[in-house]
Order: sequence, then structure tokens, then C-alpha cells
Amino acid sequence: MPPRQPQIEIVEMKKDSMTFILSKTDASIANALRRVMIAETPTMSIDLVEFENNTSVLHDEFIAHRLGLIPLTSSRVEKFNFTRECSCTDNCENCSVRFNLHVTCTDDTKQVTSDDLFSTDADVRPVHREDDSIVIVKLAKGQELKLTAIAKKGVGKEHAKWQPTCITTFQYDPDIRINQNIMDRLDEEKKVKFANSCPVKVFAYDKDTRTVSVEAASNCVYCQECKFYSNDIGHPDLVHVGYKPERYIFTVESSGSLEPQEIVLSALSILKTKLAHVHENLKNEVDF
Amino acid sequence: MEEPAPQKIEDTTPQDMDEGELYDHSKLNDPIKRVEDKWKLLPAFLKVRGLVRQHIDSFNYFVNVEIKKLMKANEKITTDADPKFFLKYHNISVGRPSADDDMNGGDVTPHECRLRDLTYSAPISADIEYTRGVQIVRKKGVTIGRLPIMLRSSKCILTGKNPDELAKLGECSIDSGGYFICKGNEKVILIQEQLSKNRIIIELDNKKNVCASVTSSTEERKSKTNVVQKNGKLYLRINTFTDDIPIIVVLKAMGMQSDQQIISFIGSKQDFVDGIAASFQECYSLEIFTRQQALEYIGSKIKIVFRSPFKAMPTNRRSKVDEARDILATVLLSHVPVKNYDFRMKYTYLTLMIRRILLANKDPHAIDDKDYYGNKRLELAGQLLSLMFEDLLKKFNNELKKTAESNFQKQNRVQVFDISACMTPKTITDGFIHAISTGNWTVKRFKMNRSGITQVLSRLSFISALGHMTRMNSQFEKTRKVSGPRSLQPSQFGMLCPADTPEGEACGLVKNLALMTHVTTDDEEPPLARLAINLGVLEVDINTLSGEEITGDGGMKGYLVFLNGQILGIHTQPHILARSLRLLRRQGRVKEFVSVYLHDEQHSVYIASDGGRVCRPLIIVDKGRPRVTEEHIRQLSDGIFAFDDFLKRGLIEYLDVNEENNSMIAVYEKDIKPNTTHLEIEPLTVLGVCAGLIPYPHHNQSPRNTYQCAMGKQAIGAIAYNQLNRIDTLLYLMVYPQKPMVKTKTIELTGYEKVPAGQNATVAVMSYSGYDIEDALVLNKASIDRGFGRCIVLKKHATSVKKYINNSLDRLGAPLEENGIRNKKHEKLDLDGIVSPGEQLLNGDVYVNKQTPKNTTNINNNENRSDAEFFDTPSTWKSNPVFADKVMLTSTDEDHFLIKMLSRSTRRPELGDKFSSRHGQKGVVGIIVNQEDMPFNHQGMCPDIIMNPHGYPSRMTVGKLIELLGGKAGVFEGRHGYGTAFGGDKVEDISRVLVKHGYNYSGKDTLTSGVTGETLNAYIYFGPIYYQKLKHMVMDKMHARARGPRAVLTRQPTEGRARNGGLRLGEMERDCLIAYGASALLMERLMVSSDQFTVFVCKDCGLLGYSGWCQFCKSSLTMARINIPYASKLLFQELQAMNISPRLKLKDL
Ligand code: SF4
Ligand SMILES: [Zn+2]
Repeated sequence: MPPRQPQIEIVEMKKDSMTFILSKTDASIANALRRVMIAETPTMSIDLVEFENNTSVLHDEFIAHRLGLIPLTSSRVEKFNFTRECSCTDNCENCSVRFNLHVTCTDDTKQVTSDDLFSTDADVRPVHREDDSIVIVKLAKGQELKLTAIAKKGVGKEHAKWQPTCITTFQYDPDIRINQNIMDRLDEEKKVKFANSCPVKVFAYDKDTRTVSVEAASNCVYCQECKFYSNDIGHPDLVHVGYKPERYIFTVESSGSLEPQEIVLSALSILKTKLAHVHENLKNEVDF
Repeated sequence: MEEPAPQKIEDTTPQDMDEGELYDHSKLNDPIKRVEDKWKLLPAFLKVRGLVRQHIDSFNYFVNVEIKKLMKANEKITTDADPKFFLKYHNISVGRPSADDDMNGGDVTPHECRLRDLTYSAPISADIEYTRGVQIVRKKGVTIGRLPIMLRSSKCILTGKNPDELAKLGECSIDSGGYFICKGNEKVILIQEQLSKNRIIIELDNKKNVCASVTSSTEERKSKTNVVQKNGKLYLRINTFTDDIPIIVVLKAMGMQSDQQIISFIGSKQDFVDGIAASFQECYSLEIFTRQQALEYIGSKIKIVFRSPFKAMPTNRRSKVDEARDILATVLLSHVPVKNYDFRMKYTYLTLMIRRILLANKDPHAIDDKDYYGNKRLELAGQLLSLMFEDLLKKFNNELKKTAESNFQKQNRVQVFDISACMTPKTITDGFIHAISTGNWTVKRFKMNRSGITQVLSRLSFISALGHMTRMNSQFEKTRKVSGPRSLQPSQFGMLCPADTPEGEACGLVKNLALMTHVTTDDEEPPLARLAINLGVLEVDINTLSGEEITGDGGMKGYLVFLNGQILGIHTQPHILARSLRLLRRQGRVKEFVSVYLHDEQHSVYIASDGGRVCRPLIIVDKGRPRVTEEHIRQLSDGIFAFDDFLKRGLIEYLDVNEENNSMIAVYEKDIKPNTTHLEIEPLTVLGVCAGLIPYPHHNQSPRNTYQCAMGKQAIGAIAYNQLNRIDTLLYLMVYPQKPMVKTKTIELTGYEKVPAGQNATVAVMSYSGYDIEDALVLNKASIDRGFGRCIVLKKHATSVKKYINNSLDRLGAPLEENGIRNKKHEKLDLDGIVSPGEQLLNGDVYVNKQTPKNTTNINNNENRSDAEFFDTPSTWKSNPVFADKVMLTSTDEDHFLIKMLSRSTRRPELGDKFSSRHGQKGVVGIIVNQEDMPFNHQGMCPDIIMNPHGYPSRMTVGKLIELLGGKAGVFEGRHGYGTAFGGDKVEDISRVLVKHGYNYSGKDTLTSGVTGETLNAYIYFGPIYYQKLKHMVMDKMHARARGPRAVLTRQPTEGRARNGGLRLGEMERDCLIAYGASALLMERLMVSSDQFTVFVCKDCGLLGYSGWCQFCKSSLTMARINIPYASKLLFQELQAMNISPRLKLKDL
């Protein structure tokens, strides 16, 4: 068997999401990629908060939790060390970024948002898109919130706030084939009914040619309704619903901390490093 | 008997006339249109009434009406010591709630009371007139006591305030009120269920004989009268007689002259004559023929009451005959009035009881069902308080009288005695506070001694507080194992919630009101009586009605007319009477809560206006058409009509349980038949508030709804708008509560959406990992990270700074410092010696550095006390780390300083925390799984919770399945689903929505395993279900111990987590070890590791002695050393103390 060469084919690329097809590889590889993207791609997130004054209605832990969940731009996450691996005792510029927030409400109410978080490092800022900044807390007149927050590098395995993705998923590429021989023998009513049996309109019935064709196979949710119908009318082989082997449609949606392609690349390199480790260790073992 | 059916009653009120279209006869045969949105009457009803109206109405009635009547009944105090002396109350009123101290100019808000541990009460002031020496003095507004005020009642300062004003007062605008604040605690007076008073109940005694009993109750007296059967003869049984008295003797004693008269009153038909014959025979054999003889006989049976030796015997002792006559007049059926010893009313009543018994002998159907809800009365806060008030007022008056008497007996008085100076409000104030805070209701006059009347309002969740206000307690003993009073009675339909009752011993005894139930308050009787007489009732006591006329036996058609259990008279056309009364009620001429009940079998019309009946509103239907039309509902929606307008216009009326028996009530318009009289407003109102939270309850197995009712009260969520300003003993709050995806109308009406208790979790119904057996749940770690199930626990820790009798005071010490370094334990303290808010308290930290003076008894003038005169009594934190949230300093009634510290801890769900859906399906967290290991669907969504499918088949909670579907469809449509009881979104429609959005109609998805990346071999039921986090959390329960504290007395390990106790090896565990033969292990567990103790025993005498010396034998030769449990040594010594000498016989093995 010739060695397989996994391939990637990009279907769609947007600012915060991408779709690509990974092919010629096993489900295990596809899943490993997915898992690494979720759990092991490092980003920056606020991890320590020191409150100086908090007269808002929400208490300290509540606000700290909310701050942690704010995605921070992490394209330059590489330049930071994990705090636990850093040479410093507590934390330093090499492993953390400091944020300041000080808001006092003088009007009736005021929303404290992620825009009020001022970073000491231009590379690590709260993710900001157009005018929808993330609300942290709403202040009433006279209330004040003053704090210092420290962002650290981390991975989603430790806490979900370090996940770079909103959704990372792959699905199998549906393979739907109609047995046209059987189909031709059906009467018109059954053909229409068959076409309509699919809840997501995978099939289309053409009135002129009186044929049923697979129109949008990628819509299929594998619900087997078409199968049930063909069983009902006594033609279990009328349609074949399965998936194409070794083709995985990936969707990666970013939380904003990393660009989608960065997530994929980062995940691949982590995967590579892991394999390199395995390789290294194995070699050492064998050498002995 | 032929009679006009009730539906033929034509009562068109003038208002109805302009809706001529309704009565257009040509349209009578049209199909009845559904009155769309008639459920809108429900919010309108709740808007005017609120959910706890019954409590507030009852309290208002007491405070505005009843209290004045009680004062009138006890208005004058006189004494024999000085005939000229008197004290008279003229007017009584309850003022504004205020506090004793003048912190805020006397006014007080409920929230201040909660925080400062005060009682939210108002002064009761009276205008008085009394003699001072020879003068007559009048005084206005003398405070005689303080009455705790029910929140949101007419005397409460919160009434009529808008949400903004309420917020300013620190109050939650959606709080229902209806409770009291007593010493800072919120207390609810539970509704008490009782058998109705002054009604004849025919029942079977324990020998299966039919008997009749009446519990009479008037302001002055309570008594019970029984008519019983023994060997076919009838007897009267009252407590005051030593023996049962033959009934004929009693009738003769009451002045019934001839046997013929008696027969005519009981019934002249052969059945009755036969039934009573034996009783006549007995009377003759006793040779009683005249009234005098009868009274003498009765007089001989009077119980001799031992009077207290201090009271002088009445000088003119009345004869036995007089005494007997007195008892017959006052004790026997005491609620039937007797004027000038005219017993006509009373014997009419008694003969009626006899007649009913004889009827029931023949026909068992005539036996009353004790559990029938028309025979029940609910006692509310107002009635209970009025009982308490009258008792306290009597006590207060007695005390005043005693003071006055002792003053008059004094020789050479210097000052003129002024009684108003002796009127201290303490008696009444303390009486109320004691009763409400302990829940013990003791009223000596009625020998009433009930406990558990009040409960602390449960603030676990908003719904638990609301549910608490609709709760009802039965007087029935909890320990008795009978099913009758506990089971759901058909007559409770629509009045009581069929689902909401606890499990276990109080099952079916503690009930909850349904959503639209109203409990009546007392209403004036005389106008109603007059009205009935004007409508043609022939009065018994004025008209000399013959027995035949009353019994209706002699071909007479008369029906007896009762008003609140009293015989009013007879009416020859009872249907017309009933119809007219109902007509007048619909027109508003008679109060809306008056009920008219025609009982054909008993040939009686019962008119009731007494308090405590349960009733509910229904739409009136006549000629097959509901009176409420779409036009009305439109006007209601436009705000032109209010609920009361529907009542006033006679479109809706209240029916009580009895009157429901005269009605044909259709649930839906389509069910209306020609004889239908009423239409339900909305079927969901059969449920109460707690059951109203359940989506699709009508698809669930009924016990599941009951379980959810209990669990909804333990759900953590938001409690009230003022939750963060409260300092409660224990408060659980959820960090991110959500509105349920599938809601019900009740949820919208109760305000649950504003203070929800739960979160919409995406649930996959599948098995996963094996850590999900026995209902355990699999939780997604990332969901927890993002805030799922996160909650806040707030706890109060109060310390009081006391003042001692020698005027010395506790004090707060500044934190200790040594060379500029804080003492380790004092690190978290502020300079004032109290913890600074925001600090984290670890085990061992001091949070209030209190110091107590060593000398608290002797007067010590040394003002600047030195440190040496104090010892430290600090409050030290001993538990898991928390944050100090708040510190409050205040003073209470008793004038000492109070320091309240509120601790806060935020918890994320952990293994073993309890969660439940709204369908009685609870489970603990079995494992927490990383997001990447969770299965995901084609969109990449993964569940928050994985639930094992084995939870479904045996529980049959189909409602939960539909909830998931409805929620899933709602998510795609961007709206909330409805799962209202007996309604809600239809599965068919939901499926259509799902298909429209490209999902399977049955809610199943294809999932891919997160571990292997392979598609799962089954379709997974996947979608949102509302989950509640319950208060039972592992952190509060987790406990283990190796060595630790022991009890002083027995030297055995202490018990319970709070005392760091040991884990008990119980009897059953012991049995296992015995059966296994592991005796060494048993010895180790039960003795060595528990309370092993070494004693020295004398081999000779077997008594315990010293090491090497027996004090009994005075010998040192025979001592042996043995190990026994300390508890057994204790037993020996206790036996010795009781003069029993236990001796140990020792043997070498
Ligand atoms: S399996 Fe379901 S979604 Fe796929 S083609 Fe058949 S009917 Fe359509
Ligand atoms: Zn001895």
C-alpha cells in the first residue's frame, strides 16, 4: 500500500471561522487534531485579579470569573512562557500581562466593558469587534470598580477560558446514492414521497425528467428517514446512506483570541511536537 | 320529587340586557365559540388578589373589624373592691408600624427589622375612660400593646407603594408579603385546616353505630354534643354528664310535652316511629313522664366539679333541676341560642339530629364523609391572631383589675390611684411575640394548646417562599396511619393542588392551595337572615311551625333553611329561594362569598357566610353560553375592565365546595351542555404555584410531579430583588440563573422568570463512562468553567456586645501587633477589631476580636479599664475558607450592640453535587468530563449534561421528553416554548419546527464520540432541559475523621459532622461482623477504637476497686485488671447509685 498523504482542502475562510476538508487520513488523526485545537492550543487569559475597590453589585469572585472569560488577542502567545515553567518566582513580563481597570460611575448607570481593561502589552488586548465590547458589570451612580488583572498563558485543558475556539468540529462527508434502477420502477407518487421523506431536503424530484437526484448531500444528518421510507415501500436497497471514507469536513470557529488558521496551525505544530517527543523517547528506548 | 333543574334559573341582570346578542334565541343553536384568551382573567385575578391574598385579607379583617368587636366584648373592667371604680375602652385602633427606639423618628421598615432583629409591629391604642379617685378621666390613644404587622397588609407601610418606592425601602417588589417579622425572623402563620364548626356530622363510631355529632363554637364557649346509639336506643352524650342520657328524657326536659309532638318533630313516617320506639320504651321504664322528672333525672347525672378551695362556694346553691336546665341551655348545642329558657330552637335542632341518625340507619349514603371538603374550614392568620388577642386582652384586663384591687386594699393611700399609669403594653406585646416566634398557640379559655402554628419562612428559593404562603396544615395527628384524611378528595378539585404535598409522615396532611383559591372571611349574619326571611323563609322560633312542617313528612314540601349551621326556618319553594339569593349575589346585593347550597336528599338549603370556606371563581354559563365573551376579554386586555368588574357585572362568581355540588361545570366550551351552569376560567388553575413550574405535568406520572414540588423548593437561584441586601442565616444564590426555555403560564404569573432557579442545560440522553449509574449525571467541565451551576453561599455570623448588670461592657479589641508585625490570627482584622469586608477568612482567623470583662457582677467604678480586666472571647473562623462579604453593626430592642458578619463563598459544581430537572428526576454528579471527550453533533455542539436513558422507562416522565423537544424548537425559533398544564405547544408543531431547521422531528441527533472520533451507533436524544441545582452539596456534607473529640459522659466519639464526630458502626454493620465471625475486628471497632477503659476488679467480691486494693474486701490480693467499655463502667456505677450491686465474676481462660 502506498503511503497515504493527508490532504487539506480549504472550503471557506472567514475572519472568525474556517471550513476545510481533511482527507486521506484516519478518524483518529482527525479527532486528535480536533482535540488539540480545543484543549491544548495555548492562549492568554486573565487568571489573577487583585481588587482595590469594588462597590458594584457583583462581588469579587463573580467579576474575576467574568474577566477570565474575556478572550484576549493571543497571536503572539509564543513569546510567553507558561508561568509554571518561567524562571521567575511569582510572575513576570515573560509569562504574564498586567491589565488595569478603573471605572467610576458619575452618571445614572454605566457599563464597565472589556474596553475599560488597559493592557501593559500591546499584543495582548481584549478582543474587540466593531462596537460590541463585552460587558463586565453595570455600575450605578457612585459605584466604583478598580482592579489589576494578570493574564497568563494556558490551555483549554486547564480551564475553558483558555480555549481558542467556540466550536471545533468535524463531520463525515455524506455519501448518498440512489439506486436508479429501483427508482425507475417506482410510480410518481412514491418518488415524490421519497424525495420529501428527507427532513433536510437532500433529494430533489425533477418533474420534467421524473427522476429523483441527490441534490445536497452535505445537508444530510444521517437520520435514516429516507431509509425508513424505502424499507416501508419494500425496497431496502433504494438508497444508500453512508459516508465517504477518510474525508472529514472541519469547521473551526474562533473565539477571537486567535485567527482560525492560527488555531489549526498551532494545533498541528503541537501535534507534531508530541509526535516528535514520542519519536525521541522511542529512539532513546531502542538505543538502550 | 319533581323540581326545576338549576339551569333553568333565569337571572338576567340589568347589565346583561345591553348584550342582547347573547340572548338572541335564533343563535342558540350555533356552535359555541371558544372564548379565546379567557385565561387572561387569571392574571387579572392575580393582579388584584396577589398570590397570598387569603393571608392578607384575613389579617386585614382582624385588624380593621374583628379587633373592634373583641374590644367591645371586653370593654369594661370593674371590681368588687370599689364599686365606683371602672375602666372602659371606647375605641381601638392599630397604628403605623414603628420601632421602640427613635433611630428613624419611630418609623420602621420591614427590611430594617430583618437586619436589626426587631419585630415589625404597630401599637394598638385605645381611647379609655376611667375613674381616678372621684373624677372620671378620659384619655385618647393609650397604647395597650404592640401587634406584629403582616407585610403588605393594610397597616403595612409597603402597601400601595410602587416598585421604585419599594426598592428605596429595601424591599423586593415581587415579594408576596403575608408573613410577619418577629425578632428579625420572617414567620409565616400556616393555614390550619379544621372540621367545620356548628354543623351536624353523621358518622360511624368505633362500634359501627351511626351517631351524630356537633361541635358548637361561639365567642364564649366551645362544646361538643353527640347523639349516639346503643342497642337501638338513642342517647345524648356530653362531657358535663357522668353518663349518657336517654334522648327522650332530654327532649322532655327541654319542654317537649307529648310523645306525639316528639314523633312529629322526628318524623311521623313508620320508619322513624320504629326507630325511636325503643328509646321511648326506655324513657317509660325510667318512669319519666314530666319535664320536672326529666330535669331531676338529668340533674342527678351532672359531673361534680371540684371547685378550687380559694373560691367561695356560691352561697345560694341552685337546685339540681336548675343546674340541669342551665346546662341544657348553655352547654348542649351551645351555638343554638336559647332565650328565656325557650328551648324550641334547640329541640328542633336535636330532633333533626335524631332524624338524620334514623335516616342513616336505613340508608348508609346519608352518612357524612368526614373528608369531604365542604365540611372543612381553614383558619388563617387573622382568626388565630384574634383568638390570641382576646386571650391576651383578658389577661391584660385581669392584671389591671388585680393591680386596682391590691391598690384599693392598701391602707392610707398617699396618691390618688391612676390606673392608666399601670397600663403597660408588655403583656400583649410579649404575648404576641412569644406566640409567633415559638409557634405555640395557648388559649386557656378554649383549652387550646397547639404548637407548630408558625414556621420560619423558607427563603431557599423564591418559589419556596411563595409555596410556604399557600401551605396548609391539618390538625390531624401525623403519626396515625390512616389513608382517609390523607388521600385526595374529589371535592378538593380546583381548591387544593393535587400534586404539592410532602412525602412521608405528613403526606396528604400538609396541602397547598391551588392558584385561584380564595379563603373567605366572616361576614355579617343578621342582614342575610333578614334577607332570607324577606324571601319567604318561615322562622322556626316565631312561627309555631308544626313538626310535620319542619320534617316535611306530612306531604309538606318545606325545606329547612340553615344559615351558617343554624336553623333559620323553612321555605316551601327552596329552588326559588336559592335562585333568588344567587341572583342577588350576582347583582352584588349579597356579598360575593355567600354560598347557597341546596341539598335535596336532606331537604335543606344551606346558606353560608362564615369564614374559612374555600372557594374559587368560575365563569357563569346560562342557556348554554358563557357570559364572558371575547368582547369582555378584549376590554380586559385594553384595561377597561378589571377582574372585579367581571364580578360586579355578574359574569363570574365565586363558588365554594358546597355550592359546586349544585353546579355543572364545563372545563372547555365544547363541553357545554344545556344544563351547564359554569365554565372553568383555565384548567391549569387546579395546580398550585409549585406544581405550576412543571412543563407538561399532564404527561408525567403523578408522583413525579409531587417529587418536583418538593424539589423546586430546594433549587438554588435568585431569591428576591433585595437578596444582596439581606443578611440571612443561610442564603444560596446562583451566579447565572436563567429563565427556563420551556415555560408555563404559572411561571409568568408568579414572577418566577424574574427570579429563576435553574439553568437550561444541553442534555444528551445516552450512557457514558459507567459513572452515570443510578441517576448520576455526567457534567461537562468546560460548562462548569463557564459558570454552569455556579452558586454563592452566604452565611450569617452574629456576635453581640453585651452590657452586664454592673454596667460593664464587652469591648472590641484592636488587632494585636508585635514589633509592627500583626499577630497571625489577627491579620484579617480592621483597626476596630472586626474583619474588613473583602478579606478571605481561613481556618483559625479571628473575625470579631471581642473581649469580655472579668468582673460582670460587682459594681466597679474604675472607668478606664485596663486590658488586664478583660479576657479574650473572639469569634474565630472554623471552616472552609470564605470571604467576609459584609459587616453590620446595629443595636436591637434589648439595647445591646449586635455585630453581624456575612460570609460568602462561591462554589462550582463538584462530584456529588445534586441536580434535578423539573420532573422529579434528581441525580448527583458522577463524573466531570473534559469538553474534548464529550460527544458532539454535526454543528460541534456538545452537551452540558449527559443523562442516562435508564432514568426514563420506570419514571415515565414523558413531560421531560416533550420539554426537551419544546426547548430545542424554541432555541431555533428564538422564543420560549410553552409547556403549560393541559395545554402548551403540541409535539406535532414542535416537530415541524425542528424539521424546518434541518433537525430530526423526534429530537434525536447523530453524535460523534469525542474520544474516538467515530460516529456513535445510535441516535441521541439531544436538546435543552431546565436543570435546578439543589441545596445539597458535597462540601457541606463531606466528613471523615481519624481521632477526634469524645463525649464527656461516655468517652465515646462525638456524633455528627458539626462536632467532628466519628462514623458510627451501627447495629446492622455489627450484625454483619458477627455473622462473619470477625470478632477481633468487632472488638477493635466497638471498644478499642471507642471507649476502652481499664478497671480493676476484685476476683472475690466482683466489685470495681483500685489498682491493687479492694475497698470492699479491704484486701490487696485479689485484684485483676480488665478492659471494658467506659459506658459499661458507667452503667455499673449508675446501678450502684440505684442500690443495685452489679458484680463481675472473673474466670481464667
Ligand atoms: S439520512 Fe436523513 S438527512 Fe440523510 S438523506 Fe436520508 S433522510 Fe435525508
Ligand atoms: Zn473485693
